[in-house]
Amino acid sequence: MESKQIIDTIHMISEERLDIRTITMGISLFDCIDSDGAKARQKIYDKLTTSAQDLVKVADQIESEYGIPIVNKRLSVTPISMIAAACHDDNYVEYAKTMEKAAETVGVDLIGGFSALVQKGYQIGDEKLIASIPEALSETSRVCSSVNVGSTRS
Amino acid sequence: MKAIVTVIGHDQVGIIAKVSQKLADLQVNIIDMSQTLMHGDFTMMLNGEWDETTTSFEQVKAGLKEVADETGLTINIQREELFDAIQKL
Repeated sequence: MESKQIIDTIHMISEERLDIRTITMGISLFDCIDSDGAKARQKIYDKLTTSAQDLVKVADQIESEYGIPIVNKRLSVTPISMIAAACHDDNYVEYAKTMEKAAETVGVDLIGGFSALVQKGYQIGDEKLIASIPEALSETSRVCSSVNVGSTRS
Repeated sequence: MKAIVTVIGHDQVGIIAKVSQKLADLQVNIIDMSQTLMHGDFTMMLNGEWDETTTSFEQVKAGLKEVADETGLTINIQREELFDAIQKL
């Protein structure tokens, strides 16, 4: 045990603001796909609130045991353009609201995945998702959205 | 479970006695310890080990908080893995 190293580490946290910026739980929504949008959203809500029910509690425990702040707790889901494509809704704003509600219930700061991956071209789900982004983001506060337009692999 | 306890504050009679007595009450074994006095400030670091099935981390933390409140010292306790992860490659 090196005294200087211990002091240095503590100094990094208390004086130099070292922190854990985010911890993220990734959750697949492939098993929530349903041609009925309302059923799909219910499945999504149930899955998110079940899988992530202890995330904030465990994060608080980690913060306490290691003495290092965890600034954000986050969920990340399968791109909604893939999950919602099976239903015939005109837009996917309700999916964003479901994500928001689930995030609020489990107490996380951010939920990402209101997204589309179009590096290989557009499918119908991608177009609807992208068109929904402005309204979805204005109606929610924790939902994060993205569109992937290019990849060295595509 | 191993943790590093750091005690910093104004020097006074009985710091080592109070901290080590509290740790003994909590069944924490002190494996290593170092302390120094710098400009009238007392600094102590110790490596404590205990059986997690009999005493929880939160219990040890709460016990040390009592000593901190009583003496006006700043006492931190952090799992040893944090220091290993940051300092060792």
